Amino acid sequence: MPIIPKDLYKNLLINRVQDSARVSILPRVPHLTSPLVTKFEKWSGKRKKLFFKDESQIHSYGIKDFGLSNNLFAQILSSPMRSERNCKTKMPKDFLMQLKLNLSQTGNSSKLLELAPVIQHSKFNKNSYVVNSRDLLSQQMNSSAKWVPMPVLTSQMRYFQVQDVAIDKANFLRKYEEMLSLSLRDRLIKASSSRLEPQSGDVVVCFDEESNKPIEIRRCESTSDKKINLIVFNLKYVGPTWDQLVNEHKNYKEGIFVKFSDDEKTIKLLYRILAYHYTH
Amino acid sequence: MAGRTVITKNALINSTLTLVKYSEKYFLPTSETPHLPSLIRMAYRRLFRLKPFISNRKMVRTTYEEYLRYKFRNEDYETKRAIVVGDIPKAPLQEEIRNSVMFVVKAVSHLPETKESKFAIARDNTTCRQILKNILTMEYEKQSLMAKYQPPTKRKDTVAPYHIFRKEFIHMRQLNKSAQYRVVGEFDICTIYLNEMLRTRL
Repeated sequence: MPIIPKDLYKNLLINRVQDSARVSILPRVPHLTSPLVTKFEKWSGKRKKLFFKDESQIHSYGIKDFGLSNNLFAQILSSPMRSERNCKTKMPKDFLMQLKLNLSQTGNSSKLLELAPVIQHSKFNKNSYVVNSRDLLSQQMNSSAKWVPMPVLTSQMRYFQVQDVAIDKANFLRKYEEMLSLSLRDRLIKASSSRLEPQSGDVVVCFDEESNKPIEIRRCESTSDKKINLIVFNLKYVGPTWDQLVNEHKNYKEGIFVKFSDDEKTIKLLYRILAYHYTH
Repeated sequence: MAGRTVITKNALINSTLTLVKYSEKYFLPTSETPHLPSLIRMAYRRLFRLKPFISNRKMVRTTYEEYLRYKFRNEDYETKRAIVVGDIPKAPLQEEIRNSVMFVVKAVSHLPETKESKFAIARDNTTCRQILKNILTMEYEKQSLMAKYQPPTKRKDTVAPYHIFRKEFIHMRQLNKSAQYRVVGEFDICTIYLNEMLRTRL
């Protein structure tokens, strides 16, 4: 492109006023003092949070780490809420028994689907949740048809009748108990070889005939003279057969020591089995 | 694009969050040790100040209000605790109050995290938030059970939910009486165990 010489268009340009000669034509816009602007956080409509720059700032306010990742009760209480099918009240799902709707595998049944409990919760397939208690479930067993997961019943693509779902009422609880005890037995034997460095939140499994509490929190001193909380589970409430196992694999003062950071699943299973057998 | 950040004197506001910077008024003073009654009042005020942080929904905020009022004014915590752990000596009340306020503050705090820098305490805070959320949900269930209840005209021996869940804690004593008792009771019992471990009073 050819360059146009400046003197050809110079007259078209507006001359800039020299700085010294500039007069303010418009009044200065005053600083905004309206609370609509200065206190905007009050009506921003966004989720409010307290802001800390980093870890050191939050510590400087005296806020400490509770160590909740090593705490069984915190882990159970913080699990997502699910509706319990018998009383339609919400509860964290780690408290509940998960039932899965599967295609029926046993050949002798004429039913298309079956509903069965599982011991390790997973998201796979359609689930429903019922209370994890032997006493209550055996009472409610006759109305077990209402345990079929809601989403599949209300689904537009529904392909079965409620009658097509087999629930093995006679063996429902027995199978669950067997699964629980088998899994727990293996896990406890494996856990008995874990290292003994008690930390807060770790678990001791014992079998104590005299004690009248299924779960107890014991405050004691660790190897480095710090106060720690140990959770003591008493398997007396599960059944008399556990006495032998606990005594055979004892690796701590009173029973089997299980480390939370190594065996979180074992400890959740222990809680589940105790809650299941609890009778009061 | 995350949108513009508005900066005011007290807060940063971006497209999803309002982050309040000056937070001294939400903490209990650490330097002095006030008398127990004034400490309780301080904690009560601070917990109420934290109300806007709990949720954007009116319903949840109301539940939180009711929960605080009940905890501070009506609850017989000693009885409730004795059902679960018996007569083991308890942590001093001052410590419990301080820890409880800290728990709620942790539940509503925010730390800026990127993919490279993660803070361990942020995980802890998330768990606090989830627990607080679940406690409030359970509280809402209890409150709606109490609100829905109408005393029967014929039978006189039924017990009102207020009596069960708030006064006598029958749902914690007789867990396996019904699924309803079990669900609420087991939750409350576990909350007590959590309190024992953290020395809080939720």
